[in-house]
Amino acid sequence: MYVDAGESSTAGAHRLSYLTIDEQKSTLELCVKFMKSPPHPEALLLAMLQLCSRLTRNHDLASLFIRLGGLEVLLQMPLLADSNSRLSRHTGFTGIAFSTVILRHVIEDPITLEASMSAAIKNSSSPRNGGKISAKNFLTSLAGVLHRDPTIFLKATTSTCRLVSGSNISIAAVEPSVPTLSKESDAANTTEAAIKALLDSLQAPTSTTTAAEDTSNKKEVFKTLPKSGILQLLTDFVCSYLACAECILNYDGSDIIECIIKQFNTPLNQEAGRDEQHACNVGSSKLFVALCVRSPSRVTSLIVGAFRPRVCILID
Amino acid sequence: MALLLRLLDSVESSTVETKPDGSVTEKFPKWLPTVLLTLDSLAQLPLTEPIAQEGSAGKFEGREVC
Repeated sequence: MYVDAGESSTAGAHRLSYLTIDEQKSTLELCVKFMKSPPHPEALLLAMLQLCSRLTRNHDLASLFIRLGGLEVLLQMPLLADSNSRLSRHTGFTGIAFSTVILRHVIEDPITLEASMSAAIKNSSSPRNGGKISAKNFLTSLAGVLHRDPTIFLKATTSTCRLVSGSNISIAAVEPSVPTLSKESDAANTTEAAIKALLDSLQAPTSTTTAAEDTSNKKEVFKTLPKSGILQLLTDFVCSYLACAECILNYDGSDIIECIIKQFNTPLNQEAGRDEQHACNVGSSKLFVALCVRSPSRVTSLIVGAFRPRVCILID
Repeated sequence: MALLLRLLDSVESSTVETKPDGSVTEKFPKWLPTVLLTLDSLAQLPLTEPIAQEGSAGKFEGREVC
């Protein structure tokens, strides 16, 4: 049986699916409901995350995932192995990979996705050939991008490339236009929700604990995504998507720039957690640099605003 | 499809188990991951042409499908 359920939607991920859009919505609702009831067996945990990562390819369903409270549940899920080894290391890392994919899908609304695809298309052609690339190489190198959403890929290709005649058919990349998100749009809201959830969990008290039962082997364990992982994710998002830097800089939980600068200035302890602390220091400096590259004037004004009172006191 | 979703619905209504001391535990059947992965397979974008479409039922890539 073949079901074409996506006639009214712009996203292509569900249009050639054997599930109708209503069935996908029901499945996602049930899946998030299961996610809210830990603890989960390993196989169930991975199956839930895999299914959610598949369904959230459609941005309407990604928005539904946020409305159902899926983001908060996702960031609080016990993904890495604890001292009792209820979850294997493999499950933990696979779970984190699926979580990253889901977060990317939440941010990748059709406009952002088209902009990312345009950038990928532009990068696929070599400047040595005058921005030209053969059709075969074009499709080979961008197969993964095409598979993400064929409809949006076609739009991005139409706006970015043009066919030129010659000895063989080639595609010349032209300058893509930068799309802007209106603040009231659903797309802007989903990006903001994802960034806010990540920053909230970054500023939450640390989720590391030590194994109380096994005092002889006191090692660091993580119950959820580690802070260094969250910093890495934020850096990737800032580099990949235009709207993310603004969302981070507009975060109203606290002064985020001050928090990042404090983070990479934190001295390393000699005790357990040194590796994670080092990863956090490196991650926060990378995030700071990425923010400076994306929005230099805004970062400068925030730094001046955050540190000027102290500078004045020192001068006095 | 409806059967699979009905199965998931039945899990939803039977997961909560109240113990005599009042505590509530969640129980998931062992077949639940299999059902979820089946739905995942059904939800993904097929890379080939559909087996049967309107007007071409019974044929796939020019061959008869039994």
